[in-house]
Amino acid sequence: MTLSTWRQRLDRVLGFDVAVSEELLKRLLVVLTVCWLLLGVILPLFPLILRSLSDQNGHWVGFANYWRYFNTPALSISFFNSLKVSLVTTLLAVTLAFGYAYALTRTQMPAKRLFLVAAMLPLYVPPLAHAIGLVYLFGRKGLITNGFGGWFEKTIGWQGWDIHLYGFNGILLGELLYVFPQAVMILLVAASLADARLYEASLSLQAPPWRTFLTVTLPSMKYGLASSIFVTFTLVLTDFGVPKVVGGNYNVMATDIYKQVIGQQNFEMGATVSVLLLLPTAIAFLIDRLIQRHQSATLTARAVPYQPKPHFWADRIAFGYCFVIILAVFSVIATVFLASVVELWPYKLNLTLKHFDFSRVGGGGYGAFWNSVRMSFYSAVFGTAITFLSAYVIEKLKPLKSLRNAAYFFSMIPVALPGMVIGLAYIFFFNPLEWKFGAFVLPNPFNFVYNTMAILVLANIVHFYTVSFMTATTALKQLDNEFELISESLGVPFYRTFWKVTVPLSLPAVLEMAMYYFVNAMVTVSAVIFLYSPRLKLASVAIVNMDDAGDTAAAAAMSVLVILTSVGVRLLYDLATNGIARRASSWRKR
Amino acid sequence: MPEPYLEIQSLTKKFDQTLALDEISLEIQEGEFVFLLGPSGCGKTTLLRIVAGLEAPTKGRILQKGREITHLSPAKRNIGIVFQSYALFPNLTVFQNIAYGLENRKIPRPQIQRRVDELLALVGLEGYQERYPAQLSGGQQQRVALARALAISPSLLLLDEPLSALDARVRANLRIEVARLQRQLGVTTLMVSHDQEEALTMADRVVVMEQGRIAQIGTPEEIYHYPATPFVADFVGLMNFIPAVIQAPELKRVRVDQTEFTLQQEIPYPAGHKVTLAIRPEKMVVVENGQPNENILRAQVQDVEFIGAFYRLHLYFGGERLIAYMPPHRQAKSIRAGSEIPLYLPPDHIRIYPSNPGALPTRP
Repeated sequence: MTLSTWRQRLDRVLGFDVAVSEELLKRLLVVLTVCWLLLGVILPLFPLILRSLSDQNGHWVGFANYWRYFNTPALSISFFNSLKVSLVTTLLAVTLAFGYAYALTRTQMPAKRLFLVAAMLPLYVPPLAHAIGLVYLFGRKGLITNGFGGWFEKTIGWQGWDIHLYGFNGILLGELLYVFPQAVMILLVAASLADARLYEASLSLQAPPWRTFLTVTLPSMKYGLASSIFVTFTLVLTDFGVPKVVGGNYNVMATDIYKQVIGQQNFEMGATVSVLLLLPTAIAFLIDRLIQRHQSATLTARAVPYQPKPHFWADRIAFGYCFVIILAVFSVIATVFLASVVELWPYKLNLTLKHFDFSRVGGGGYGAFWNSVRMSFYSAVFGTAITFLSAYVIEKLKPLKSLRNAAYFFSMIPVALPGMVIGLAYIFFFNPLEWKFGAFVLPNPFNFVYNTMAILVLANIVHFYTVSFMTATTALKQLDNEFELISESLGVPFYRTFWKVTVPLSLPAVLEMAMYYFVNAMVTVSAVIFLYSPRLKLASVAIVNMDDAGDTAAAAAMSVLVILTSVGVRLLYDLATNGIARRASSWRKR
Repeated sequence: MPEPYLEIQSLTKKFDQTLALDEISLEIQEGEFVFLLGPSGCGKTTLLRIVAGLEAPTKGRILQKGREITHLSPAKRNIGIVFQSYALFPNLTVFQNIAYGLENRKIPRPQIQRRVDELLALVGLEGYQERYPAQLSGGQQQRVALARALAISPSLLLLDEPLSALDARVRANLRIEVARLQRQLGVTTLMVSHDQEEALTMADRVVVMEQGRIAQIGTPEEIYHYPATPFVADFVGLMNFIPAVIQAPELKRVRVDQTEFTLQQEIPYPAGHKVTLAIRPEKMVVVENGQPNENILRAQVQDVEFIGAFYRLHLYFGGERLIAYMPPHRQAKSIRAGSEIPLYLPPDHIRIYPSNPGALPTRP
């Protein structure tokens, strides 16, 4: 039988005749996408949940661990502490951020551009660094706590101000600094969706300003407000760095998981708290999705962008408000920078670089720093590739619709997964040499990644997957679906069009994704603290450990290195996008 | 008859429970320019997509020169497609866009260069090789899209409302050019449109579609002068509808109100049967000197519009709204709203349809 008759038979079996190979390749890609999401996201959750339902010998105990958690006040206190501090922080952060975004978009205050950049800068600061800055200002020997080293007492008779940093106050302040830029970012987008025609209509109907605010401004921002509330809440609830440094005896769930697993080797209780941490974030995520579903295009193509008019008092108040906030944010960051280059904060203020010599302290020093850079680089490269490909497969390929729908659903899950949960789940999934299901024993083919760079990179990719995935999907949706149809009719294989058209057109989004992966991998603690090995120490973990050991200045120095790296990458990104924009301008603009 | 180039046999397409195409059968000869014309939702685009291989039919077959292609991929059908959105690759130059389908076929570079030059000359865009799509006007972009589709020398050209996104003046120019190009290349072409003027001016044959079915197939003249149904009559051009009763079928006489009218067409209904008469606005003549005095309809003037080349009269007759045209040299000033005027209906231009008010198209 000749090859062509075989081909015809195969065609008949598949009910398709094309370039069978191309169709098969598409199907294979869909299957691979589902496989990696199953492996990276879905399957590792099962051993975690199972572990929370077992005792230390692996016997099924139902909800006994949960029962014990809520009946042991020393444990369950962290659940309520977490909720309390997250709710209070969310309320404060969103209120402050709303005012900030409002001032930026609805007033004519001076230096708007500067305030915009200044508010975004803390995105490149690890939450840990905020906490360390707070320690230097408000800690036991903090600058403000002791009244500038007694200088204030001598001059104006003011002893200092002890805000009792360690505990609720510290977490609140640290998290505020951490989540404020994120909330501003979301609210800015929402606030810029203003249709000037509605304001003019309201004005012409002689509505007082407060009524315009309630009937035009707020409704147009309600989806952004909801989003910022849920995002902030989730970030605070799942953050590990800030409570680790300034939490004191105020237990929260994220630090509890760490204590249970690292301190007491109680993996079952660690798993139990993880699942409990997962519940509120999952619920917050679901509510947000439900609310956002009702959002229709608030801004039609006909909308006229709102141009705020100058107003003497409003502009001055807005400027003062933003100035105070930025001053507070920058004092903390500046403190970290200063503390890293002086002999002994705040007593010996002579400049020195000795804290950047990490050889005398634990944590891993420059080795850890370069490991972090490498890990972030790999996360950026592989994360961007795998995320963009997944989004392309789900959005643009046609075969196996139900599998693609499943892959889309799986892609939404990581955003609800706290980093600690991913880390712990990966231990349970990748560490054992074999998986036991009752009497069945299955060898674990993925064990080899444990204790390697690969598992760290995978954890980072999954941890930051959903946001990147949405960036890619949004970019792909803007591309004409007919590009693929045209290519097909011209007999050009889809992968060629992917490479020659889809990728070049999505380049800005691709770079944005890469930067997002890099910066977040650089500063994250929660996803990697369970997964790094003694041979592969990391900068962010080193900050935690050095702070733990009392080497706060070295921790500050490492924070500075991390911040400078992230900001440096961001500047490179700007340079690169400017270059691309120049090159692309030939076909973007007329 | 030679073997048709394309044979569509009892094609049916269901989306979930809705029937998009219902037993469509159609033959297209080699080199023909055929239009699929109809309102949105009539199934014309679905039919084009199935012919292109972008969609699979629920039932039925498609033959290309006797070879079944129903389940072939688009790449194997030797087709070129142009979409309403142009779908030019914005990051590629005009040259790269046109060469896109050629570069994959291991054609030597100089030959590609020659072919692209040839196509650019064909669509009148010499010297535009290095431009990007965003640097071209809508009409120019659509020409590039056409050149790209023609580059691989398809034996069938599929055009999905290619002119709809253009403004009226450009559209009118491109209409002539596309038709000229099609004749020049002799490429069999199937074009989807909802614009009856486009169809009448460009097509060799028009397929009028209504709710997933073919309402009529014919040359533009046949479709315009002898519309098979009131739907076709109203969709292609304007048509006045007047209710009537058969008076004497053997004498070809009908009655409208109390007035008798004579037709040229045979009347296939018995006396007393209710029917609908149809006549194009431009065929009704405003009578001035009492001549002729037969086939006269007295209608009430509602409005007189000055269009420039002619006057458009909005008339009332019974419950029906009618439209008639009048050359500008007539004393339109003497015709006032509310006055009654006599209209002559030439027997050879009156069509007759079964009276079924539900089937009659409604005019806004």
